[in-house]
Amino acid sequence: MTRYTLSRLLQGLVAMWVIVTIVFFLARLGGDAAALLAPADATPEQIAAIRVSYGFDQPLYLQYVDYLRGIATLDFGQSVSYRQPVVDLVMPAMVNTARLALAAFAIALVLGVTFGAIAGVRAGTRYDQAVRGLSVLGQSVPPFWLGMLLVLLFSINLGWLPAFGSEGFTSLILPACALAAFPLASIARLTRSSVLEIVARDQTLFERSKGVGPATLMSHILRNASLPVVTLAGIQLGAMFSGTIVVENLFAWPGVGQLAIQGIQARDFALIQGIVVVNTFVFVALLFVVDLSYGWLDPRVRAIKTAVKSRVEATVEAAA
Amino acid sequence: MSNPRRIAATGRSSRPRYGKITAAVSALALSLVAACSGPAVPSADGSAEVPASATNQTLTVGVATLQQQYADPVLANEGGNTYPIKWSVGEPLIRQELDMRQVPALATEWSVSADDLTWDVKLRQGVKMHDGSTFTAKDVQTSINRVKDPAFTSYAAYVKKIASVEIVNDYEIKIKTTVPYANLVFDTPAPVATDYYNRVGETEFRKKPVAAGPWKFDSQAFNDSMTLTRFDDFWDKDRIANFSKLVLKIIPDESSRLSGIQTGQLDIAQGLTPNSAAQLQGSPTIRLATSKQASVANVFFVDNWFDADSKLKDVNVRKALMLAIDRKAIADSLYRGFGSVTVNATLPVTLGNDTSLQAWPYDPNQAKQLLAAAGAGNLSFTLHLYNQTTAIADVQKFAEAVIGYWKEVGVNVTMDAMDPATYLDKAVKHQLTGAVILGTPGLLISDPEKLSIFYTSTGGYSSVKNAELDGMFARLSSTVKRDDQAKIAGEISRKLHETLYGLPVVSLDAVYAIGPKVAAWKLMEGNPYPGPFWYLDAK
Amino acid sequence: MSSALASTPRIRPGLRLRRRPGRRPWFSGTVMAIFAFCGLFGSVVAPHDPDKVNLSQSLKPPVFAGGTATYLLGTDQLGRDVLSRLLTGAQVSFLVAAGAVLIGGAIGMLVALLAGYTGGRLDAVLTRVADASMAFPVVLLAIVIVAIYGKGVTVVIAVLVVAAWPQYARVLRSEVIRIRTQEFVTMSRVMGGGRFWAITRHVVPNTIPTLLVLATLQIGLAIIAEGSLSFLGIGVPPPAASWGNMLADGRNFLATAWWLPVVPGVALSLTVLAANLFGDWLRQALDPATRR
Repeated sequence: MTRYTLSRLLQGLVAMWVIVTIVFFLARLGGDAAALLAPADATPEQIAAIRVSYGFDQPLYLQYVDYLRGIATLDFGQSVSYRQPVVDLVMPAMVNTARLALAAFAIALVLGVTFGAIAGVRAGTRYDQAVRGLSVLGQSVPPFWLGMLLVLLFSINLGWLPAFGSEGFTSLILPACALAAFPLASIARLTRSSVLEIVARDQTLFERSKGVGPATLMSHILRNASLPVVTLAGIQLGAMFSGTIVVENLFAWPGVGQLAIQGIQARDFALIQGIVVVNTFVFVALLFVVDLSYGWLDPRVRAIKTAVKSRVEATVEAAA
Repeated sequence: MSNPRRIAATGRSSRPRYGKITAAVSALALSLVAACSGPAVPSADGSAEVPASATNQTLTVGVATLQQQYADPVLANEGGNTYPIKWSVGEPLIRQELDMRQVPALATEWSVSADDLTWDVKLRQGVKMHDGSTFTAKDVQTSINRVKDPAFTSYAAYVKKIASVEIVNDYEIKIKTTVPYANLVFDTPAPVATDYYNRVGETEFRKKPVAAGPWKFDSQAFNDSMTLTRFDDFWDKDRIANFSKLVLKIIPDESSRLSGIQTGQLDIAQGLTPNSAAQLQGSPTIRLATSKQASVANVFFVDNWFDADSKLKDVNVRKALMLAIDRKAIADSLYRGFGSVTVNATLPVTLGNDTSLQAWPYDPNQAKQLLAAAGAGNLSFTLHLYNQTTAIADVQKFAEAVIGYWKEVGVNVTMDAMDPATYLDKAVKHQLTGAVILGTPGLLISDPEKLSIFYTSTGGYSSVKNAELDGMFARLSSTVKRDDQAKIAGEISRKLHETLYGLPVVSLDAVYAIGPKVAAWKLMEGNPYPGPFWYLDAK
Repeated sequence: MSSALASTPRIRPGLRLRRRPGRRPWFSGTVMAIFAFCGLFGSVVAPHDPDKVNLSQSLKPPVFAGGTATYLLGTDQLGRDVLSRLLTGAQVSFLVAAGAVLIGGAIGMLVALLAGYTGGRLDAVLTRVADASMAFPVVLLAIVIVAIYGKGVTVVIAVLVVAAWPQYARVLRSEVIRIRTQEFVTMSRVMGGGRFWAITRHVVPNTIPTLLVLATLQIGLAIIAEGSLSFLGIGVPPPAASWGNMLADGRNFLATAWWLPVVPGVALSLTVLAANLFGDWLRQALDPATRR
């Protein structure tokens, strides 16, 4: 297990390094921030002076080495446009994004598993049909479109919830719902099919015939059906962290997505890189936690991890 | 959370009214519900009376951006979107009044020596800074010394012209410049509290500035909001608000600012395109306010800056392109009347503006003839623009409209919409050819010298190399006497009108939506950016 | 919807549609057919020039909401015909979806074959690369690319391909491994068939059903993604119409000219819905295990 953990950790680090490197060079292809930092009536000489003062005139490889050295000591540098340490900007934004993503994730997971499980147990009923219909629908509506409709209905017409903002619980509801729709639908569909499969197995029939109570039965079914759902949920949560941009923009949510847009528009290289590093870290960490949770959910997995994992992943991909 | 409709309804009925619902049912069975206006309610417009102390002690303004969100009023000089803080937290020596005239603020009198190089500035007495200290000449000197740090990029040009700063006494200061500098006093950074600055140092000061403006900086949440509190000891009683807290809320998406004013989360929504503002017309509680001639939407023919041959170097071709655009239709239809046809690159308020000039008419037939005569029958070029510019509302639609009119006279124009950073960088480096769209804020071009940014060969966004224009602007910038300036500015305005290196297509108003908690707000003319938040009172 | 997609034995190569009487995908099939037709011939059947600006005719409502027959679905704020823009916009959405699905699918398939068939170190490396790509913040990437290279259909497709290929690769890889070890492939090898022969004649055809199901579902995702990119202002650049940018442009008109956001929104959602339903149907039709 330790060896496995170490190798995963190493892979995560390599992935982060590759991504940061790509972003580092990609971002610098489009010119630097000097012209943006200069006032409209600046002369070309003044702009050149600004370029020198921020080190944009240094050879790229030197800037790159400097940057990697900084990251190694957890120094993400200074944001040139906001004139503050990158960490001070990225961390609060990350907390906000995490708040939104986790709220949406909680909605998606709880409702998705509940609806999916009931639909799976009662396959073929009207309830099942409704869940299937709604979940296909949920995957067909763009999140920004859904967000706009939610605002129109619940904020402007009914006046129940704020149209944007990040203070308090009420302002979390609409953006979280807009963000949750798609993963909710995916999780519901996958849970349904997993439950269907388990129910169809003999063991369940046997237990039912022995007179096991419905609650116990359900927990057995859910536990057995949970593997693919957990994998999908992990991937969805990771995707949510980078997929919040659209919803953040619509609901004026001060998260990482908005910060990223501003960083890119200001050619604030240090800021963009800082965001990418943190973002990638979160994603890699999440996948890692998902992996560990297999063992906790189902002890058998430890022995046959690879075999099951590839099958589970295939299932998840197909369902997602 | 408050609902404006509930507040409004108190006048007539005690029950909330919901808008008539017009529904468009999509195949998804999701009904779209749009609020329309209901029966008449006492309008917010009618109430002119402003209470001495407001019932609503907090007003929230939704702004599209505050750019880098500097709290420090001196740092906040990086372009118009940072001005709300510059104008609120800071108080300069000379400020612009709502009609764009320069009026005394912390300076009371100023004069320049015979050689035009030494300025003698008398300072206002009895002014308090935000920390309770008394404003003196030292605070001016501290601020000037501070911006000598190259980090204050927006003051680089200013610092270069400063030779020395000498304190005569607490209320008088002498500033020597290396070259004649007509705008010196106006351009001087807002004074900062010297003792406080020396005590906390540069880094801390940027986070918690102390200056002398009508609003004190309170706190900020990044990319979310900036909170200001009223400065009760502000020297100019006319500009002290009757409410205590002003929240500037950053909401990048226009439709969200629109919903904010509808739900009552916002009291003022800035940066609305006329088309979305139109949704609020007829609302019983929300009114629209405009800043007149906030900016001019220009097309500059940058080919004139290069040596290479181009049909756009022919003045008759440029004239044809101007005549081909139905500018009135753009102002009336695309901008729903929140815009007007411009006469010239200079505005009526610009110093030395020649009022005898006539606007170019809409005449597509003459445009076609001119193009044919110039041998430009199948003219084609690229029109570059950048999205999300504060200075031109709906800039993309504006470009599409202009291109549409040019197509009608047989000119084929490709549209190239870029990201602001790429665009500005390329524009400065002269990497764009054909034509570019740039908005010129009224505030900026009320000073004719600022037109040199676009019309002299070394200007930041230069679109032309013309020795005659270069000479005129050089004379203008070395002239300090206002009458002489006006004369040269007049020549410039006539020259620009006849050469059409840039087409001042339409001038646009900035549109604000104002909610029921606002009693009165007087807006600054020629300002496309949010604020200034003076003369703003709550109910 | 079942793991059977990846694990049930499929003996004969090629497509085998199972008949499910009375459950033909009429709705989704029709919508997909209309989408494909508009995607290919949209600009031919458009009644007006979609880019023709006519400010005197701006914001005219559709014919069923009091408008005239000249502009069946009304006009936008520049007086352009919404129907014509919808039809030509379909071409862009179709191009984006088709491009993303074909290129993403092809790359995914290639990687899956390389990884799944060769195995060993190459497999390990490719699988990790796919995993790492999934960690890449795609929207961020899109913003960076657009900021630097400008907007364009190519950029949108490229971004969607980057997002999609690992998903194809992961699913198809396990398919390839499963098929490779099956008797008929081993037999073919034993009987002297070359590796290339085995791949082209046995492995690839057997992965096609899975690929088709994945691709159908990805069509929907690609269309939604184009809309999201347009919403952020980094989608297909105007004046060319796409459903995404029509929707994004129209979002400030919900109360004054509802047809501007509603028409492209309905078209977009209907098409995505149809693609998803069709993908579901295809999955069940191709999968004998779900016939119960």
